[in-house]
Amino acid sequence: MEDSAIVDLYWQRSDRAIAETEQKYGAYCHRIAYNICQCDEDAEECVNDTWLAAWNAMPDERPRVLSAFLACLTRNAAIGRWREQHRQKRGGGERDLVLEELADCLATPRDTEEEAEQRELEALVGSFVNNLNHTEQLVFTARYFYLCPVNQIASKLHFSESKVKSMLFRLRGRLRARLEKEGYC
Amino acid sequence: MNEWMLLQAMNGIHTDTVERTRQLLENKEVIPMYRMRKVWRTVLIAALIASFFSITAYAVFHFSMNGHSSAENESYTVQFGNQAVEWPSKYVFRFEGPEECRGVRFKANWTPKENYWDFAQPEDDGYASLLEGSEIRNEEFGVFLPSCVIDVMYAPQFVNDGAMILMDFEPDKITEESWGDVQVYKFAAKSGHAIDADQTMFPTGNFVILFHPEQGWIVGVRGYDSMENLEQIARNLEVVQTEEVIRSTDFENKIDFCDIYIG
Repeated sequence: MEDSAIVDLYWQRSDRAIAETEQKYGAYCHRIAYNICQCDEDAEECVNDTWLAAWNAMPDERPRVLSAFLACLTRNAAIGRWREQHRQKRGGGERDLVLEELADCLATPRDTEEEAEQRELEALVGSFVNNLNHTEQLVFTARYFYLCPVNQIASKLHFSESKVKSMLFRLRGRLRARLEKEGYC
Repeated sequence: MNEWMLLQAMNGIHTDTVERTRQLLENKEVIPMYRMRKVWRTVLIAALIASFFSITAYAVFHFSMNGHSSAENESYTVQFGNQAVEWPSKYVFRFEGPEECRGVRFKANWTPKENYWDFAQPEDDGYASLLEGSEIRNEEFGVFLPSCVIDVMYAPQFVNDGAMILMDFEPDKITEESWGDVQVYKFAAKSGHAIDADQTMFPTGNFVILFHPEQGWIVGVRGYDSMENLEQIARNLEVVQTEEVIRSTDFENKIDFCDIYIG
């Protein structure tokens, strides 16, 4: 089914919307989530979260590129899950948990501020990547959007691993310079 | 800001880039090139017929360069090994002529300010094949963008089935001039992709493309600096031929980009 038809199903609030999405993009979203979570069960849950987030986002949103839209939702779910696990491993959780509970009381202003900062950072990253040449765009996106292993990127582009590593090293340096210039670090 | 926010911020990468990378990673089938070949065969036959009527012009100019806006169904496929990735383009330059020429390097004898160049390659003797200016603040959008990029391409790369594409840039009115033996194409071009997540910022870059029909080189001077500055840089470029012979078979891809990037 064409992407535009799938989006139409969301807009019509049709039960088929999620089934069609799953059929076309289930494996793709699972791979994205798995690259982040490194666990099949977690990846599966992230994918389910993705369908729910897509259902909640449309209508209102009408994604121009459905696959990229779903990829972002999957990343959000998987990064959130990974971050949560990281927090729990770090220190028993209670102290952080209490802080989080208290933070709920202040949720609105703090969230708004963080959200604004996050959106600014996204715009900066978007602009940074737009100004890379095309091979660099592919390498950077494969690594830091899709979290692909270096050897896989090298194999897809027919580059040596050392070439990909050195490109990524140089790109990180340039991103750092850009972040410094814009006052992020 | 922390590493989590930065990881999350990768969601700001343009959706087209995300999609192109997906295609590459998912090992999409190689897109057949026969459609382009068919178009090209037609173009070549037309050129051959035209050459009967303009033998003199053909004898003087070894290479020819022609630009046109892309039709709706035109697509450009770039090979990475056995992987094919499809790129959009609003405007295309096509070339005809021999399958080899000599290499060149260039020297920028004028810049708008000191320490203008951020990166030069190789420039061991003041002559480079790639120059990148440092980023400048774009006042319209309040962001930093590349001031100027200069590199060189060669017509033999594009003869037969090739094309030099203006990736994602749509030219305004193109002004054609002759500077001595060099054909010059000057234009402003609006970016077809936004540089912000909200898809509201479409910056306009400036291009000065120099083409030497006898020697077969194309030097692109382009960036987000003013047209006046880019033109001055271009007018003061010194281009010299090297002993290196450039052949059409040297290139993995017969499609290449003339756009604004740093890299």
